[in-house]
Formats: sequence, structure tokens, C-alpha cells
Amino acid sequence: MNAEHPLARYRVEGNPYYRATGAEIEVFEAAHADRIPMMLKGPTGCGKTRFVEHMAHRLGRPLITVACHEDMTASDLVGRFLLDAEGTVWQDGPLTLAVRHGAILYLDEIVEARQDTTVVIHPLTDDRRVLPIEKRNELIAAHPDFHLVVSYNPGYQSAVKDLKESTKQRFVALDFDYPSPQVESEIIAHEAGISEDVARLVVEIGARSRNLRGHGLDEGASTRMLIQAGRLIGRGIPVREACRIALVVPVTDDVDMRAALSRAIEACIA
Amino acid sequence: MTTAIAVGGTAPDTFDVLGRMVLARETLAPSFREASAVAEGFAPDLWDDWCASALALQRANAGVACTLAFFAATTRLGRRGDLATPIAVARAAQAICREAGSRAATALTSAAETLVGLVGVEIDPVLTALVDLSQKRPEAVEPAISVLAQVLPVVGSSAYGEWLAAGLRAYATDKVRLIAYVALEDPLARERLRDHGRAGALRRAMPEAIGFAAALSGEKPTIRFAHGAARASLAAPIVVMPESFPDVPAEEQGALAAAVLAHATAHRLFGGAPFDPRRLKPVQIALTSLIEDARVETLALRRFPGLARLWRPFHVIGPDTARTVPFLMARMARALFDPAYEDPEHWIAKARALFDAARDRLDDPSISREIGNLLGNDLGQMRLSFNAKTWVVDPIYRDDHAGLWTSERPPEAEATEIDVAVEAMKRKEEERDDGRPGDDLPPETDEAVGRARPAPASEDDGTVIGRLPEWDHEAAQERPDWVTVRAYRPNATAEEAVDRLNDVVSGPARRVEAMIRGARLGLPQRLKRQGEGDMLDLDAAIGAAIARRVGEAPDHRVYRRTDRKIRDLATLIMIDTSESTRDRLPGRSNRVLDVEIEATAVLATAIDALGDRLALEGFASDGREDVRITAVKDFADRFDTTSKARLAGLTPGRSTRLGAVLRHGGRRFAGQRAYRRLLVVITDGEPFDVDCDDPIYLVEDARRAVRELRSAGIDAFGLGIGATHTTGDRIFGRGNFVALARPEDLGKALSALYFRLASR
Repeated sequence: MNAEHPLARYRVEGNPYYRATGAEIEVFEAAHADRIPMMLKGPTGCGKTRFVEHMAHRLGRPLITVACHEDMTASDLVGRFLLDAEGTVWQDGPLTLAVRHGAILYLDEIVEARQDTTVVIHPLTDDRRVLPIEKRNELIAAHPDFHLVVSYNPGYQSAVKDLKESTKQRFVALDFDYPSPQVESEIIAHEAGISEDVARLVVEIGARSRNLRGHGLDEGASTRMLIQAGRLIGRGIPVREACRIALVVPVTDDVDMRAALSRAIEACIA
Repeated sequence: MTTAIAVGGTAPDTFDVLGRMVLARETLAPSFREASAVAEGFAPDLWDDWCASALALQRANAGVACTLAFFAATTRLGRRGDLATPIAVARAAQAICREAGSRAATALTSAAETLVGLVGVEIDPVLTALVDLSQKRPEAVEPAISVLAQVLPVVGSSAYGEWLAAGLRAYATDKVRLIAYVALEDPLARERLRDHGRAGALRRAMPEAIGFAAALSGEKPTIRFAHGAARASLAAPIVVMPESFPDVPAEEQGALAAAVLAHATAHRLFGGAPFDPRRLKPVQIALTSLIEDARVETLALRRFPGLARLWRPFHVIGPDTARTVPFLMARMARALFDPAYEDPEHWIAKARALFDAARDRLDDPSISREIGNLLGNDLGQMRLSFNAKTWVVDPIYRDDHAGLWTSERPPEAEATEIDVAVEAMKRKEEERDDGRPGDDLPPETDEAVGRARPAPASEDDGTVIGRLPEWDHEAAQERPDWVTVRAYRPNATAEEAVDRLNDVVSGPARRVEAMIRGARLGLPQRLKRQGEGDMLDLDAAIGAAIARRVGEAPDHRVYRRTDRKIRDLATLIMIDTSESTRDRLPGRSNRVLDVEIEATAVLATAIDALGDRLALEGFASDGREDVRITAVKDFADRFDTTSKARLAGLTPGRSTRLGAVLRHGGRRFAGQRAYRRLLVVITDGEPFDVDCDDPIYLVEDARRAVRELRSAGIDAFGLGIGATHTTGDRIFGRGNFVALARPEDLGKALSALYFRLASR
């Protein structure tokens, strides 16, 4: 048997690039020092996940990420018995793993999980900091390094998909949004390896798409999409074509919307 | 006689009579058997209608060919699930047969399938127009039917009546030319068809152009169409568009629409306060406007350089045109737009020099006035005359400048054009008042502008649609036929109200739609301990393993699978329009009714997109003899502009007799086969009516009505706006009534309610 540390695989390698737009790094460090559960709110693709990776690396903690979905059950988080030749063996879920050995647990898009699933985090997010595993009749006290971070896209928020009030009130929250044009160009130039001039054009085009939010699009182009467009441009795809395949086609199938967006992109290109 | 049968016949009798008449003829018998076998498979009321319409066609002596074509259409369309079209066609054919003879009627029944292919379900306006034509010019019906395939794709079903009416007006006394018109052999007809084509192309291009403008500026322009205008006109946030640009071919109307809105957006983003036209000559006003156009376009191009490619094709003027003011102005516009343009005219070179000198302070709108005045003086010294009345802005994508100036009554320079636009808008609006679509004949019908309109529809007495019992709780007995329910025609509303509704609704509606759609497709039910499935049910598997080891017979159902439910529900939402819904919300300008309307529209838009069945009705009451129902949308209707206009047109007034409304709602579900039937009442107060002193009486009656509904398998829910609901729980039962202290929450609550019911 390999005596590898159970969290060795969860170390964040390299230093993930993150460009701060405010005091979020300091705030996160402060919250982490006291292990205050943290909620990151913001539209898709604005850098929430990257921020957590960056912070995990900066703080030297392992990071366990769980993408939440509707079918997720509490045992997907806590763990379950598996069958083997001898009988059953217990397998820790990601939550138990983080609690037992001390890691940052990041529940991405937590509202996607059903509300009765997310209540398993409740005993961990107040001053008890314990995780009861009823199937094994076990009570785990959280490792001192365990820190819970969740993300949450208020765009999806609705009467039905929302966190329980009792869940919400356990967190401190940071608001994320798309960065200012200047900062966003910098990010895109860095991530896509293109010149700042081209990056500025991509950001200007992105602004056109964001203008259509609520006027035919549910969400405008995210920073992530703009980076992808930039990468295609960096690989030699012409700007128009790169923007079409990265920014227009993915977001809408409406013929008029596609044509409108393409025209607006065309207007930005000299 | 025929109409009496068409309305009152019951299927067995009608069918017997029909059978006797048809089966006597050998030529008809086989296709009759085939068609009636298909028609019989439909719902009883449709089958009834079909028999009645077939019989009526027989009695109108439409002839064998006509009947055969009708049976054939029934068989073929019926097999595709459409019996309504053959019925409607038969009714129209019968009417046409009376006026225009059996050949015309045969032409129509033979064209039934073609018609469905051309206009789909919107066949009624076409049939109405043809019947109307048969009464005015019977000879023209057959030629008109023969060219439907050319006309309808261009003109569309809703405007087809006007297309014919235009011909009737033009050739009121000339039978031969009218027939040539309807058969597309007359030049006027071909020209008008091209007009329709251009107007249609422009309208089809608008959604894209609007999206484009929204992407540029972040604000969505509101579009109105004005008949007879030559150029667009800006009255922020409205852009008044001509119905078509006559000189531009249909395929270029799309690019032109985008160019117009891009220009309007440039004014919106970079324009300043309106100029004051006083003490300016017409020529100075025109020139100032043109410089202002150039100024905002130059600024727009700095940010969106690609717009140059959009605008350039419309700058078609060249230096070789005559030395008249309109041409010089158009050349100047081009010179300021296009650096590569060369023009030998000194005045244009000067305009360019003045504009270039101001390039570093283009943010300042006052340069437009400065330069405009200077150039105006020069033009005066060149002794060229300028006729502001006939001048039209060039290039074509620019607006008419009316939006750049302050005065209500604009200066001479723009008078003609603005008048046309304003007049056209007026007419447009008035025409909308009575729900008729716009007229597009040349302004020969100007006197129609000031004509008195028929009294609003709400002033009628309503049509009695039923009498309902009521429950007297003190006597503990039902009073039969106690309440009279009347249907009132909905008010038509202005286009603006519908647009506003669309704007408010579109965003939330998409979210609700996604949510409900997710409920249908994404809300799987986990079925555990199944005999078969795609995953092991671990608990069951472990249980089975344990059972085997201890020597018991294991349970073989060790799988789990997920199953998705399909929604099958019909919903009726009844909207309280009693007097109290006129109240404004605290600190807001919306009335309670507006909140009801918006919330309903959000849900209706979402449900419409999903294709679920939803009906909407407004209600109020004025004593037991007048329970007022306003139909907004039936279960089968689309939530289209018509229903939206009706919804937006609900007006507050009178009282709330809830029990009668609930019973009426229950009857509306007759014929709706659905797994769940859901009746939602949105109300803002307690039941109350003018002829009822005992407040408990109506509450107890409503409570009983809810119980009756429940026993009929209809779920009734109440949503109460305002904090003062004390009887809602009593009427609807705990858990089936939600009191909303904040009216703004209605939309959320309504959608959540639907979602909850749709997904369980």
C-alpha cells in the first residue's frame, strides 16, 4: 500500500493566475484565519473558481472541488459503503475527506444541489465544526485546516432555486463581477497570450454581448469566454471568426440574436 | 335554415340527414365514408361541427366537385390532426356559394390544403376576406383564390383583407380592372405586392436591428411604424420607422434597418440637448442638423469603427450631380463621413475644413450650430434657393432631424416630414384603438383621422353566458340559477401597452420558462429497489448480500433508476379587476391591477413557450345579475399580441363575487382532458358585492365553491395581494392560499406555485 497522504492529490500545483480587482485576497485571508465559511457570488465565468484555486495555493492548503448538481445526494458528499469480496467497505466522500484531513472544500454552484442535500454542511458551519456520519455512527471533529467555500450564481436565483435561509446565514460573502475594461484586457492579454490592443478589442466586443443581457440573452459573454476568444485569436484564427465561434454560437440559437450580435461585433472591428 | 342547423344540430340527427343526402349519390359515397370515419375520431363538438358544416354545404347546393374536394380535404387534413380547417373552409365555401356560385366555392374547398401550407392556423382572416369579397364582387372570388399562393406569402394572412379592400377601393366601379387586380394582372396590384414585400422585409429585419442597437448602447429602442413617412424619426426612446423604404429593394431593407438604428444609437450615445430653432433660417436648421449627424457619427465611429462599412453603401451621391442645395447637402454629408470622397465644390471643401478643425472638440454639440450657421450664410451668398418643404434628408438611413430641435411645432424646415410622421402616428394609434391593423393605402383616407370612433367595447351590456347557483349558508341550501354570468368584450389597448408589457416580461419570463422546462426534463424521480434499472441500489444490494450470507432468500430488486414525469396540466388564471385594484402601490405609480397583469404575463409567456395549456380571464361583479367575465386567452390560444393587448386592456371597476367566479372557472374546464386541472384566483381583497350585506355569506359560498371544484378534480388556489386577508385560508383551505404582503412578490409566487404543481 502506498502511504501517500490522502490529500496529496489535492495540492494546487503551479501558481494559478489571479488578478485582484479589490480587497478580495485580504478578505479571504482574514476569513480563512478564523475558518469562517465563505460564499462567492457572481456571474458565471468571472473568476470565482480561479480565485479559490489561487487562494488555496497562496495559503498552502489542499483544495477539494465539488461541482454540485441536482442529483447529488448527501452520501455523494459524505461517503458510502461499497461492496467488495469480503463485504462492505466505507469510502469517504469529498466532504468527509476534507473534514478528516484538513482541506479547503469548494462547493461550486451550490444552489444546483437540492436544499436537503446542502443541510449536511450545517453542523460544520457553526461553532460545533463536527460532521456526524450516521451510517457509521461516527462523529468527526473537523481538522483545524478544514475551510468551507461555496459559490453561487445569483443569475440563476429564483423562487425555487435558492439556498435555505438557514444555510445562507452561515456564510460571509464576497461579490464578484466582471472586471473593469482595463483590468479585463490585462487578464485576457495574460491568459490568452495576445497583445493588449487585441485584448481591448475583445473586451469591447464582450461589452456588446453583455449589453444584450435581458434583451435576448440570459447572460452576456463571461471573462472566461473572452479568454477563449482571445486564445483562438492567439492561435491565428481571424478576430471575426474567433468571436463568432467563441462568443456568438455558444450563447444563443436565436437567429435574430445571432445576427444582431454578429453585426455588433462587426461594428467594433476596424 | 342552414344556419340554424349549423348552430343547433346534434351529431346523430345531423349525421343521419347528411348520410341520407350524400349516400344517395354514388359519386360521393366512398369519399364520404372515408372522410366521416376520419372526422368521427375527433372530439364530439368538432365532430358535431363537421357534420353541421358538411350538411350546410350540401344544402347550399355547392355541387359534387365542391363536396368531393371538401371530403378529400377532411380526410387528408384530418389525418394530420386538423379538422378545424376543413370545417372553417366548408362554412366559408357555403357562404361564398350563395353569393358567387359553386365554381368559386369549389375553388375554395380545393384550395384548403394549400391554404394550410401557406398560412398554417391563421386561416380565418383569409376566409373572412374572401367571403366579404364574394358579397361585394362575386366574380372576383375565383381569380383571387387562384393566386393565393403568390399573394399570401408576401401579404400575410392578417393583412389579406386589406389587400383585397385596397383593390375594391381603387376599382370600386370597374369590375374588369378589379378582377385583374385580385388576379395580380394589374400593375397597381404588382406594385402594392412589392410594397408589401418591402414592408414585410423591413418588419422581419427589425428584431435583429433592435438587438444590434441594444448591443451597441445597452438600451433597447422601442419601434413604431408610421405610414407614409420617408425617413425615420427620433422621439427618444422611440424610433418611428417608415413602413418601408420604397427605393430600396426588399433584400437590402435589413441592412438599412440596422443602419437606421445604428444612426439613432449614435444620437442617443453622443447627442446633446436639443437645439433651439428660433431665429434660424430653414437652411441653417438643415445644415446644423447635418453637421450634428456627422458629429455623432464620427464619435460613434471612433468607438465602433466597423459601422463605417454599414453606413457607406447608403452614401450614393457623387460629385457629378447638379449644383442644387439638396444635392450639395447630400454631398457634404458624404464628404464629412467618407474621407476618401473627392468633390471639386469649394463649399464642400470649406465644410470639410471647418469640421476637421473642430475634430478635437467633437464632444461639444455647439460646434454643429457654429458650422451650420457659417455654411448657411455661404449658401445664401451662392444665391442658391432652398425649399425646406420638399427637402428630404439624404442618405436614407438618417432620421428626419425632428428629434434634434426643441420646439413642439418644428420649424418650417422639417414641417412637411414631421407632419407626415406625426399624422401617420396618430392614424396608426386610432386604428389600433378599435383593434384593426394599420391601413396602407396612400393618404387618400385622411378624413378618417378625425372621425368619431365607436364607443369603447367595455360599455356594452355583456353577453349572458350562464346562470350559476349560490350557497346560502344560513339557510344551508343552494339557490339555483341565482347568479348571472356575462361575458364582456375585452378592451383593445394601444401598441405601447403591449410593448411595455413585453419589455417588463421578457427577462423574467425566460427564467420562469427555463425553470419550468427544467421541471419537466430535469426533475427525475429516484426509484429505489427496482427489478431492473441502470444503477445498483447499494442499500438494496447490501441487504441482498446480507440476506444471502445469513441464508435467507435475497430480494432481487437491487437496482435503481430515475424516471422523469411529463407535465400534463391545464391551468386557468382568473384575475380580480375589482375597483380596489385601481389603488396605487405604496410609493409607486403602478396599480395593483398592473402588478396582477405583469405577473400573469410573465407566467403566460413562459407557459406559452412551453406549450402548456393556459387560459386567462378577468373578473368583477356588479350584483348577482352581473358577474362580469372578460376573456383574455382561451386554453388553445397562443399568448400572442391579441391576448396580450386584451390582458393589458383589463380595467379596474366594481366588486368581487368570488364564489360565482370559482364556479364559472370550474365550468371552463369542461372538455379539458388533463391529469391536473388548476384554477388560480388572483385577488386583492375579501369577497364583496354591492347587493350583499352579510360578509360571511360570500365567504361561505366561495368556500363551498372550492369544495365543489375539488370534488370535480379541479385544484383551486388563491393568491391574495395585500396583508389584510383573513378569509383566504377559510375559502381555499390552509396551504392553498398565499397572502402576499408585498404585491411585488406576486410574480414570484405565481410562478413558484405553477412550478410546484407542474413538477409534482
